[in-house]
Amino acid sequence: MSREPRLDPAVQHPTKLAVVAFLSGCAEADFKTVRDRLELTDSALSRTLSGLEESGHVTVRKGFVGKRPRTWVSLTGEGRTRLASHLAALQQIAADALAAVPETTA
Amino acid sequence: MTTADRARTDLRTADAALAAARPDPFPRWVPPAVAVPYVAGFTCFAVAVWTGGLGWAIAGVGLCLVFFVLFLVAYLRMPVRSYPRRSRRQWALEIGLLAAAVLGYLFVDEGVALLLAGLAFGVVCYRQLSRQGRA
Repeated sequence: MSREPRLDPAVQHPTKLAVVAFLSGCAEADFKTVRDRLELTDSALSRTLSGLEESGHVTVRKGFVGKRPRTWVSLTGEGRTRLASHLAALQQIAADALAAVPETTA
Repeated sequence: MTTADRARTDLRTADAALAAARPDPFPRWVPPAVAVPYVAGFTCFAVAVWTGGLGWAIAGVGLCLVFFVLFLVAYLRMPVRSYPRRSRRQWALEIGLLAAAVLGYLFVDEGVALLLAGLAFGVVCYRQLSRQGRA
């Protein structure tokens, strides 16, 4: 059964979209790496992750590397499906707009 | 900004974020340092089967432990942990080597099977680690 591409209101904010798209490219990533690579502040990423965790897009896990605590973030299966649907919907919108452009005559 | 412009901007944002998730490559020494003890460990097990020597079996266990420790250290140091992405060729190579190990077990002896199994996972491990972040 195929699902219609649908925009996901939970990831319409550019920061949220960037975070879920980043996480879709890996199994899990540590907080610091996501923050540095997406050029976000600690507080902005924390807020974004809290929102995404509430909406069921991501899971946050506390762990250790040696004795140092680390926070690991990963995309849930549901989050992955919803992101794919959201991106497909965006592509559909962009393609429809392109098709609607009237041909210019010389 | 129209809806279509916004959609295109969002798609570019998603592409850039996805590209930023590329895992860091391991240092060059990691793939051989992890794969060699693994293959050597299984080779020791094979020799233990052929000669019946307990010393070879102990050496095999020791080398496999070295493999596990090095692999764990390399994995834990990864800031972005990625899913292994394998091509059809890789799958074919791995399944082929495992099938050869099973056939070796059935038609030759356990030593050959252990040798081939060690080689199979050693090759897989080496390729996976050496390609991460570079392929």
